[in-house]
Amino acid sequence: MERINQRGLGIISKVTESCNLACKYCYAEHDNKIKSIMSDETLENTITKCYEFSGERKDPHFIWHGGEPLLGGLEFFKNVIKIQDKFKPHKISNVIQTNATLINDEILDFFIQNNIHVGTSIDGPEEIHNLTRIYWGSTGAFKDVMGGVEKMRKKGMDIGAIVVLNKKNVNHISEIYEFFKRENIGFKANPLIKCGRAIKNYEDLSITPKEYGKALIKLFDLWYNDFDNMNFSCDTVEELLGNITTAHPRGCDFSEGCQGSYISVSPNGEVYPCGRFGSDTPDYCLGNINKNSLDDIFEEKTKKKLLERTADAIEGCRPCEYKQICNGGCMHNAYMKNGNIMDKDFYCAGYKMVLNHIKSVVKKDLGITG
Amino acid sequence: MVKEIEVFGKKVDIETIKNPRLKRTLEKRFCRMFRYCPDSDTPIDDKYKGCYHGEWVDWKEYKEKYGDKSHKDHTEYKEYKDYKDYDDKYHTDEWV
Repeated sequence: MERINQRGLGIISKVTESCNLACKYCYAEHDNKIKSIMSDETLENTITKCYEFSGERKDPHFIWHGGEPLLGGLEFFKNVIKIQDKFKPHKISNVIQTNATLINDEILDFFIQNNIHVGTSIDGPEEIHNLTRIYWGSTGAFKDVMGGVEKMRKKGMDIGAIVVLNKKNVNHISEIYEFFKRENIGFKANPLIKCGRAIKNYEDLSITPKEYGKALIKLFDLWYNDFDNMNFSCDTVEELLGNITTAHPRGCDFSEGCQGSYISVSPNGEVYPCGRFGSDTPDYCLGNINKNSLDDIFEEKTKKKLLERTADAIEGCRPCEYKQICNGGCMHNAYMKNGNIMDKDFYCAGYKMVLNHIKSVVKKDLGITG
Repeated sequence: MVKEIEVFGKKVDIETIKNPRLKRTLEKRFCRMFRYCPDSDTPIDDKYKGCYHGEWVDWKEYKEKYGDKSHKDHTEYKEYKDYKDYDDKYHTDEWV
């Protein structure tokens, strides 16, 4: 069996764990004193080893993440392209996930010139966003984020955002939807992930699976019945609709064998199963990109165990009618529940709620009874 | 060719779907499946039909013509920068 799936290996490369913001649920629990940026050696090894491991037919794609990746500065990304250029005619594919506050015209021009796509994070309109996405010292970051978005808009760039659904915004789905529609920013709504700083703030920010399910149903209804601007997208519910109607799931939370699709490399070169695992889950460190080959990492016993996680291997998933749609969900979401990746996704009950709802709506629309 | 697919066990002509969100999602999905299907980890049933460079073709016919090669191996595909480029050229107007 091929170890990498058709779409090629996605590498979530954490440029740094530092950030100019102090969002309350950040993956990276850092004190803003450690300013380390991924070294030239680690960067070179990450890119080179991923291209070599991917072979001739499958092009890797790089997701530059953090902390705040733009703390690496423009020079970091010039170096990325310089190293990747050695591997042409392989396709070069880069996405950066940034808080957008450090964006400037020079950076954007370079990104446009090199086809680097930009995603950002916005938790809703100003009064909602500023409850969780804040600077050190608690000042809300909304105005600066939207300043960055405006710069992208002026350059004609596509803008996409991730919303983290948490206790502060989960009951404001209509306001969130209307905000993104008004701004014409396509968005994904991810549930809070219990890692990094979210562990400390979990009581204050956590949502239940049912709250998540209720929010997704509301989001689906708003999007499904809104034809004003067909180019306005809400990827989360569109993905769920496509998954259940075709029975061919897409999305890292639902695809069978996400471990054939992703690895994550931390600033010091440590390799983890995906960006949700990190220094707070040392048992899932698969090696170091500066010391180990990706062949070794994919043969590592923890990686092999992760590759074996399928819905049929999870006792609670075997009788479920949606097991082919969600494939047991996200292993980190299972891990966050009780430390067991071979359990169901923590948000399982919420996914069932929204999938039942979508199935019922689509069946009605298509005149399918029973 | 009728753009017929199967949803929840019922054969549906995509053109008859009234909700534009559902119609567009299914069009995108079946088109995408055709791009990725030849060497995807996900098995594609022969019953599905999909969009191939703007023409709706039967998966069986596609396989007879191209075998197990992916789109990447076809000269036609190389005309397009990436999926979005391909998508924009062939589908945006139909969807809106």
